[in-house]
Amino acid sequence: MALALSQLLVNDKKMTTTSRNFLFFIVVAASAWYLNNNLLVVSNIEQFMPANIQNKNAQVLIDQSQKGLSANLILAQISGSNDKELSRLSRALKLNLEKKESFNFVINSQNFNNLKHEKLLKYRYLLHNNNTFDIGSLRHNFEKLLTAFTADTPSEFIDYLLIDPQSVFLDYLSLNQIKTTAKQKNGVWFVDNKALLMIQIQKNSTIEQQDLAIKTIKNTFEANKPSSAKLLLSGASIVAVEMRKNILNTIQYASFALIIIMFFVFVFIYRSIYLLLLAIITLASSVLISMSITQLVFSQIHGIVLAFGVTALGVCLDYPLHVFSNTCTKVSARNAVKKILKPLRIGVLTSIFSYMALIGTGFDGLTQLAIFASIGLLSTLFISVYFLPLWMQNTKIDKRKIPIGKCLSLKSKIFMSLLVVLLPAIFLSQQVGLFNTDISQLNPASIVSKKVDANLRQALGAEEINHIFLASDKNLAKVLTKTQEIQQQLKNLVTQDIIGGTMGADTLLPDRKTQKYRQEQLPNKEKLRNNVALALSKMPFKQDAFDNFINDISSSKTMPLLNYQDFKESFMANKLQSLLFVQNGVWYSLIRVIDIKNINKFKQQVNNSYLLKNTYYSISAIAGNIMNNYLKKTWTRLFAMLLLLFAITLWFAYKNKNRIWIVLPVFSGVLISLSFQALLGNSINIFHLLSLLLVIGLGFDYSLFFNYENNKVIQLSNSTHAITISAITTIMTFSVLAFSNVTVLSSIGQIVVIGVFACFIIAKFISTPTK
Amino acid sequence: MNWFKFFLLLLMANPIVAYSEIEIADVFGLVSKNPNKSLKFVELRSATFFTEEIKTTGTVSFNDDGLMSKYIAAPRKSEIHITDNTLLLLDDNGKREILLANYPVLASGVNAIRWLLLGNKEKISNNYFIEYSNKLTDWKIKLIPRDSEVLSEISSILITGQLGSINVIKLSKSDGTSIITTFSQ
Repeated sequence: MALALSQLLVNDKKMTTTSRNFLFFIVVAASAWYLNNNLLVVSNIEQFMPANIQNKNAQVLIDQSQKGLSANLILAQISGSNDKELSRLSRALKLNLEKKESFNFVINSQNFNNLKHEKLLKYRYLLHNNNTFDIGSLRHNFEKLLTAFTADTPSEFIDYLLIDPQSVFLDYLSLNQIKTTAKQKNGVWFVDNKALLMIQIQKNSTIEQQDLAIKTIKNTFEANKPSSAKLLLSGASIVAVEMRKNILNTIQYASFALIIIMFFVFVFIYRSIYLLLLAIITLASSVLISMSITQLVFSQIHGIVLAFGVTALGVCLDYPLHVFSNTCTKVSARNAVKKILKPLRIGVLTSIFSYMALIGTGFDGLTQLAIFASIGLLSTLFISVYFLPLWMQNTKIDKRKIPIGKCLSLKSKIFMSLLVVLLPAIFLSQQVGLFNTDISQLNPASIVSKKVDANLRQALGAEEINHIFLASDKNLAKVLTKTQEIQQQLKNLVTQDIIGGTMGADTLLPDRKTQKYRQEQLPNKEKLRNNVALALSKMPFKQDAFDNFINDISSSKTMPLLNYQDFKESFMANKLQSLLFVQNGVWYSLIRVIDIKNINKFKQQVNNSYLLKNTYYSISAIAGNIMNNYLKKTWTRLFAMLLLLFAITLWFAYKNKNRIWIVLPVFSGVLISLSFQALLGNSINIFHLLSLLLVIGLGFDYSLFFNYENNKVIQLSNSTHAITISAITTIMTFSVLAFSNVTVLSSIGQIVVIGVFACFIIAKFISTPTK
Repeated sequence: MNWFKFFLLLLMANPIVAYSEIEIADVFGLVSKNPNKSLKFVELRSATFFTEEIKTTGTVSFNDDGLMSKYIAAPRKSEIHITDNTLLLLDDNGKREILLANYPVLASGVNAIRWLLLGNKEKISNNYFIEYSNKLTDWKIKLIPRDSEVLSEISSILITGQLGSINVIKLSKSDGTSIITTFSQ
């Protein structure tokens, strides 16, 4: 439609120059205004993970790993000073962060305050086992209370012990709290000479909120005058924020590089600042329009899409370059556009087709990229065809000539074709494990950061993210029972020291059967009162000192059983929700493993048990399988695209046999680019694939224009001129991406630089008509 | 002569006001410089849930770094070590560390004694209203918490002594119960 409109506008003589310029200004201003008010740049990598996963359990687990509590958990380490100073900093950080709303909780020690006022306290006899109501046990507990009283134990804790002398509730909390290997020194957690903290950012925080929270942590730490002490943060949100920063840096570098290159090209080759201005207006407007439409459609733009889009400017630069290079003192811009309109349209259409192949691959990020790139290409074409001639009406171009080189003979072409296609094809066919479906390789965190994260996780007893057991059922009771069965089997692994421990919902919220059983086991009021009285004999306690304890047990015998909703507003609510949750009417219970000490033995034991085997999930393996399926699907689309290009070429070749050469540089460029990655020792991931679409689009563009020339020197010079400049700008801009810290962006950069360079050279020698 | 009698009369009329500022500073100085850092103690604790006062005995030691250790011998053996911010309990049930910042009431009682032993009058006056009286070499310092949360639990801490020695500390709670600690060499 846009192409038809452009054709219409080219021929439309009734619209005045002023009204066209006004129309352009309105569109650009509206886009800028819209973006200024609505632009939201995100950097969560899951947009480049497959959506609509068929296996519901796998989907639930992947969702949890991305959006659950652990996704917003920050592990902090303070080091570089003496223990006293480090503990002071740890306490000050906790105290100050707890006052801020951005944080759910900050933990730096195992402390249970205000137990007396906790909502779950009254349910303690249903939540935890307790069979110690005989006189001897009771007396032992009362003596312990007396010792605690004489040993300066805080009065708050003594008050609690009067209600719960057996510490049943405390035992329940301890069972479900963090199992840290950290030692407590000066009241805070320590591992070696480092103070540790766990900081939970509010659930469902956006990347901006996470960024703000991380800055708050760092600023709060600095405000406490740490002198030589250093704060190290780790966790998924840290990686996400870091990645966003890296992406924005890369965008800045790429933009800067592009401006420098453009300046050089226009001053040195076109000898015109005015043309530079026109090119900048064309590209900036195109990016603005494509950003606005992408934001409008998706309500956000991914950082990777934006980074890719900014570098894709180098590609969009092709179209104005073709117009500039084909305009000279004798040929007006309007005539130049008419002359190159056909190959220009074919080039844009093939590029758009390439990107359209990304839609429906199941990756939301790729769909966004397809829309972004397609709109950008169309906008550039539209401005180049419709507005540039308008703005170049009285412009004379005195461009610097570029040597064009000699055309090859047919024999040489055939030989070279075989060489550039067969050689990389044979090389690639010999590669084993070329395709990478391991999502951890896409993790932008450095190896050092991953190691720090793993160490902190182990020290703080944070649960394993990768290895999980999952029970699901529509019936909550059945899920809890199954959870208990799994936990029972996992206890054997703890006994054998294969794992450090487990964390499941069953110890947090026991099933109704267990609760009922515990309820029945509680003594009746009279018997208990009698036992308490006997246990207190010759002790200094008043006879009514433990009335609250007796009354609580008495009411526990008849109270309604505890359910999921009763956890609301309890300090265990978040914990339970992260382990037990309902989705679409199905209850899911996660059993998390803590500290796997021997992964091989762990896997072996899991495989030996029917129950464990059928409930065990490795998140990385699941994600890998899903990625594998989607990669296959996307590769199929890519090959289909290449075949479509081949078919289009054959159709052209029906009228002109020279056109048959157009497709070869594209095939060869793809193969050489992939081979280069294999040579570097890199395996091919989804982002390499994505970049190949750009290589295909550009390669086809170069090949098409080289092929569309005839042997008249002046015309050949014009296209070679435009394509050479285009290739230089594209290669140089994408080189910035190739050296980016973000794995995804460096993948894109490497593939495009090699692919475009190969396409350009091969198209120059092969697509150009034979001499 | 008349002028001398008048001057003497003036002094006798308001002896505490005229002398206390100097004496309280002397007390802090003498206590902090007392070389005897280890004392025996007998403690009588009352509580609303007890029929009688609970008597504990043991020794308490203190060093210039602010570390205070209490070794309880009876009725049950236990140890308490108070450092800058933490209270470490060691008894038959194992080891428990308590962060004093989490328990302002407990911290208030502990700090009052610690700061007096360190001679830190500034910290004491920042956290308590001070009432001071003396008779020759005997003195009494009554501390009333400034913080309302602490005051709702602890009504006062009365410390009596002689020169650089602390004899008795009485911590009176708002519920009418108390802890009376008597020290001896």
